[in-house]
Amino acid sequence: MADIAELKHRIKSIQDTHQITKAMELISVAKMRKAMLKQAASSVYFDRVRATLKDIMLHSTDIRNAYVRHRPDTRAAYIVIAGDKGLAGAFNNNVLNLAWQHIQTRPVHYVITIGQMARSFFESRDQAVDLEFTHAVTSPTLHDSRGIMRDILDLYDRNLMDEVYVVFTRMISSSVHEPTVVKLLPIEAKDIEVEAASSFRGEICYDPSPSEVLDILVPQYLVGMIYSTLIHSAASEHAARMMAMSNANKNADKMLDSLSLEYNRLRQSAITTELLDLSSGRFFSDTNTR
Amino acid sequence: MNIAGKINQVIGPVVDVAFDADTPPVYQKLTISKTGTVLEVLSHIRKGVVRCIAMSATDGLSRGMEVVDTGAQINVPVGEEVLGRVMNVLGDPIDGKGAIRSSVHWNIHRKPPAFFDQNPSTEIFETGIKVIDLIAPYSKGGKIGLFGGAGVGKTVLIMELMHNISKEHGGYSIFTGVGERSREGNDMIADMQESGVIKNSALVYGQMNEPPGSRMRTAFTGLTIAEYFRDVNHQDVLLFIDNIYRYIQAGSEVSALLGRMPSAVGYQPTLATEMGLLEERIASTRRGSITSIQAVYVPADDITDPAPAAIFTHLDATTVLSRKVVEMGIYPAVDPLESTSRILDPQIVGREHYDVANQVIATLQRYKELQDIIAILGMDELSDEDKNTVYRARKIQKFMSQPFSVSQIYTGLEGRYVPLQATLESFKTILAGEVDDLPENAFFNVGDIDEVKAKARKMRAQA
Repeated sequence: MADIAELKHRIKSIQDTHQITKAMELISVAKMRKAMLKQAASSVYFDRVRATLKDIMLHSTDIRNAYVRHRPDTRAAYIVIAGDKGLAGAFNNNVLNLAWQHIQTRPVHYVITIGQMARSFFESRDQAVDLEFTHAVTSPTLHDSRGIMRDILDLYDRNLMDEVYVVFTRMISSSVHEPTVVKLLPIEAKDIEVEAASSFRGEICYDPSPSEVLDILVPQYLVGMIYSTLIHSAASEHAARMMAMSNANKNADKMLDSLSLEYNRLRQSAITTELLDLSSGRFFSDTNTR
Repeated sequence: MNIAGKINQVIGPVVDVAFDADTPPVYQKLTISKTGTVLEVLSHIRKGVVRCIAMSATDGLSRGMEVVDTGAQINVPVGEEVLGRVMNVLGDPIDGKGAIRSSVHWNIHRKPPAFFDQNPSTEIFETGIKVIDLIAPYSKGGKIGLFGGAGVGKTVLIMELMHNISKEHGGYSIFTGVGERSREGNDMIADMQESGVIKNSALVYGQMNEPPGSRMRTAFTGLTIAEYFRDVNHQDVLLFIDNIYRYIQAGSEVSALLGRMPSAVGYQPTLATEMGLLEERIASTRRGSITSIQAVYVPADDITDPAPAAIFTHLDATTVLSRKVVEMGIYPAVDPLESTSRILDPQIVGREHYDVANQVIATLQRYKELQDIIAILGMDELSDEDKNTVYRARKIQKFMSQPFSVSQIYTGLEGRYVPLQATLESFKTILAGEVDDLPENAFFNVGDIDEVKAKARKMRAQA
């Protein structure tokens, strides 16, 4: 029967896919863990930076810093962080759609993408990509973050944009991750999500002055923000991929089960038919020669 | 004439008759004097003894009964007089309207048209059924098979084809019921009387209640009537056979009783020969044509079974009905990827038709390939292009359904006849992506693309 050959081919191709998804699940588990460790390790330092920055902004009066000053918010730049690859369930789609919705609300906007999926998403929608960073999402490093920070600050300094947003996927737990938009520049105290560190009411004296400390802190803060959004995004991507692949594995197992059953049935019925043919032929020739 | 023999042995439908003097030749018609049972000689087993197959039940026969050689083959009335009548395998009327007064009787065993007389057809035969006209167009004077397992809608499709063709094309049609339900035969006669098409039709029935001898020969009786119109009147006639598989099955029922060794899957060893005897006669000549539409039962949905496989080779167009499509609730349940036609060729159907059909097939093929991936990884992983293909393929699948006139009483939907040009335009519109925004359900059970749009508007208004 021709069906058997076709079925065998199908089983084979599903097995191949299954093998890939199985491997990808294992890799994602390992990579997700690594990303989460990295996040935990870096968050101590960056949380401290953020806390200090917030503290200064809340309690110091005399601040003159270009990145804190509010500009007329008409020109917005969006840094959109997605993955380099698909096969991660709805991960890429969710964050990109959120970015897309947000971008539509701004008449003048620039798009800065990190990750290949982000670039191809905007290209397929005829949205020009103004700046692109590659190789930053799979395993983010401080070095990458610093580079990105420098480029953004440069553009901001040249007064090409009024606001900078980051659209990324926040990892809440290994099974919950949600796409989020945060404002990067200008820095406002209400956007900083850490509690101010000081537990006392009085004004802290910064030496030589709060403004000068701020000048050093701001780049640190930005690097920290970019680095942690990259890490969150990477960890979410791996977690999403892990879940997608584990679902895929389940589906493939189910399909393989039912196809193997069908295959065995067909094979057995072919055997039965052949046995019947043989025995009836034999029976016939026996009775006719007797 | 009137040479008498005696019954020697009766095994079910197979009767051995011994003659003292001249042995009747193969295919001779014999009658049993006492009961009137008709026998046909099938083989000579030794001197004076012939093995025959009975055309009616052999109840009450006993050894020693007198058998008369009629000196002729089974012959049946042909010509205009048979129109509007219903007969059995022997040409006897079974519609209760008295004898068929025809001056011409033809033997049911005949030779196929000579080699040089045959005329391969190159003209499309519009059926008004979208999926058939597009994917596997029928040819005028061609041989068409409707393959399908139990309960996938072969008989309904053949009835719809009869309905459409007799309405749109006219001409004589001959319907041959072989080994199917007697009730269906009865329904059909009633329908035809009601619609009046019976005056241009002749019906021959040898249904399930008949013994294998009758089911083996009924198709020949119907074919002989069609041949008369082709060869003598030089007309273009339509021959419907439901179901040709029963002819093979009847042969297989008696094969072992006739002393033949069973072949693959228990079929008769003469399967291909028997098929050829019948199919080769269904041919079109330069003077007249027989367009035949044959339903083929597919045992256990296995199209590679020897019987359907033997029929396949004779056909110009095959329409395969599949259970998978039935399970989706789509009627007619034509499987577009299995159905084929010899005339789907740019030289015959034209470049436009050929391209549209191939694009539809390619889209459906791609969807089929993607189905495993979708099942494992989900729709999200497809590229935008593949997603479009999938959505369009699903619309095409739905659009291949069509309400039938003959099933109007069951579905409550009025039947649709879609002209070929409208079919082509409709599928072209779907392929071009012009109706990507319409909901899938708007494509279900409608006629052409304008009706899809109207249905979509109605759905939107209700929502």
